[in-house]
Amino acid sequence: MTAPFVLDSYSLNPELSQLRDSGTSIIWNFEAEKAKRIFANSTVVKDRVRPFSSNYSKIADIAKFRELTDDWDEEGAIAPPENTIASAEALANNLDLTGQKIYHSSPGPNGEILISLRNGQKSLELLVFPSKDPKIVSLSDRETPTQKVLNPENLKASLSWLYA
Amino acid sequence: MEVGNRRVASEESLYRRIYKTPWHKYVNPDNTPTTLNFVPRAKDNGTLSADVASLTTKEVAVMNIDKYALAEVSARDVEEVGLYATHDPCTVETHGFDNPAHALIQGFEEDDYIKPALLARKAKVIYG
Repeated sequence: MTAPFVLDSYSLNPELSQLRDSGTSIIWNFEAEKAKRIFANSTVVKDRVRPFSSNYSKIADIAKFRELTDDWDEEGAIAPPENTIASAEALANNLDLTGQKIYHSSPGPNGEILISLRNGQKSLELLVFPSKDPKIVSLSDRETPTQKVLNPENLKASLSWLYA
Repeated sequence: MEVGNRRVASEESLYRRIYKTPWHKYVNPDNTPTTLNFVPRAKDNGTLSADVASLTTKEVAVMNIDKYALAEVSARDVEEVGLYATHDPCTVETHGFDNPAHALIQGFEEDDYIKPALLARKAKVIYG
């Protein structure tokens, strides 16, 4: 899977704003076995789950998916592989840095991981897969649902839609 | 009532068994089923198993209340998202077990996650 994921200057999060103001952009690279953060100015911020974050338990849930084994639901579900878990963690941490509250995360029957975001009757479903490009699905009671490849532009537009 | 490998009538309800143990996260915090409960498995050729409510009971359909819950969705809701349900009764001879209520939800397209998501939004956890 090659799905580089870039987050730049749309965050309202003070921590990220500081990076933005310093001319730093954050690049998530999903190509590697383990998702990496690469900073344009070579500054490295240590990966972490912020214990004060409201997303702490959601991100911890994703890490716990490493304990799943094949047939974990006794119906033949495939356990998510490490690269999928790492990508989902990277995405969740990235969302957390932007101040985005994660509603729920869940493993799927084919090794995929779902991260869902909600705002009232609107929801975004971010799907990370073992062997295909990640996807983003938008749903609401009043509008036609959409499915797109999850990339920085589509995520930015979808988050704007979620809060419009 | 239609029987055999034919369409389930729109007036029927369907039970979809979902894995409920808390840390597996198949149920949302608001107790609705997640989309992933309605994503076909690779081995299932693009279909989802369900039971026709009028041909079973919640107790039978859930199989093991300690591990599973039931989500209910109407056949009409299935049709409204562009899918359809057919009767697919299981027998010992063909499946290794008897389940006269078994049905298949069909019409999923590969790589489409909209229909599973819409189905999840219409479904409710009703047992377990």
